[in-house]
Amino acid sequence: MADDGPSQPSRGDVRISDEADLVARARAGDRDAFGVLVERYAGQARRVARAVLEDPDDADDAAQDAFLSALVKLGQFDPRRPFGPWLLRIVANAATDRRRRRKVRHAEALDPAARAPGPGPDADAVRSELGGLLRAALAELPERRRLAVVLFDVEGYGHAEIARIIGVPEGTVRSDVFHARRFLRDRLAGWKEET
Amino acid sequence: MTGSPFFHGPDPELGAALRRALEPGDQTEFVARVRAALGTARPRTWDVLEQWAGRGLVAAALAVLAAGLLVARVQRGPAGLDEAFAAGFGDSALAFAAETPPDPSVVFATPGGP
Repeated sequence: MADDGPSQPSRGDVRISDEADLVARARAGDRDAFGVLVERYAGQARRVARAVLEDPDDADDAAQDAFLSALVKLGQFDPRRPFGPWLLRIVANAATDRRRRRKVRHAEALDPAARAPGPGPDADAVRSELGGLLRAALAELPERRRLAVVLFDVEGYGHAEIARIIGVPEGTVRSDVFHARRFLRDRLAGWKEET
Repeated sequence: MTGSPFFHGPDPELGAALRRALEPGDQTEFVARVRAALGTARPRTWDVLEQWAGRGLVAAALAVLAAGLLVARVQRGPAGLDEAFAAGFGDSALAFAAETPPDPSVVFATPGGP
C-alpha cells in the first residue's frame, strides 16, 4: 500500500498529473479512483489526525470524516496543485473540530500523564515506551506546534506547504517547528539518560 | 540528532521516532472502512452553503446594485425631465418649461410689420 508522503520534485509533476487524473475521475463519480487516493494518503491522514487527537479511534474517525468531506468538496480542489496538502488541511480541521467537540463534552482525559504508557486497556496500542513518551510529550504541545512538527519531520512537507495546510504565515511554522523540536528533544534526552 | 536551533532541515531521528509513535494500526482495514463509507457520502448542508457562498454573494451584490439604481430612478421621477431640458437647451428650454402659454400677438406678428 503506497504511503510515502510527499514525493521528490522529479517525481512531483508525474504524481500531480496522476492525482489530477484520479481527482477528475472521482469528480465524474468513479469511487474507485477516489479509493486509490484514500489508499495513498491513509497513513498520512491518520498520523496527522492522531497528532491532534491522541486517541487512535478518534483519530481514525476524524480521518474518515476528512476523506468523505474531501470527496464532497472535490469541486473546490485545484488539480494543478498537489492533493496531499489540500487533503491534510481538511484532516487537520476535522481533527480540530472533533477535539473541540470532545472538550465541550468534557469527555477527554485532560491529564497528559494519563496518556503515558503503562498497564491498562490501551496498553496493546502502545508499541514501546519511547512511542508512549513521545505521544505524551506531543500531547503537552500546543496543537499548532504538534501539527507543524509532525508535518515537517514525519510527513516531510516544507514550511511553505505546512503554512498553507495550517493557515498561518511561514515564519510562524518555522518557529513552531523549532519550539516543538526543542521540547521533544529535551524529553528524548531525558528518556535516554534514564535508560 | 541535529539539535542546532539554526538547523531547519528534516531531523531523521526525531522524524522516525515520531512516525513510530503515531503509526496507526491496520491500514487495510481502515481503507476498506473508508471505501465502504464513500458510497454514503452526501454533501452536508454547511458544505453546500459553503460551495454556493461565493456565487451567492456576487448575486446578492448585483441585486442590491440593481435595486439601488431602480430606487434612485423612481425617486428622481418626472421632475428630472425639466432639469434635463434646462441643462441641455439653455434659455429655449424655458419656453417649453413655462407654466403660462405664449402670447399669440407675438407669435403671429409679421416680421418688420407694425
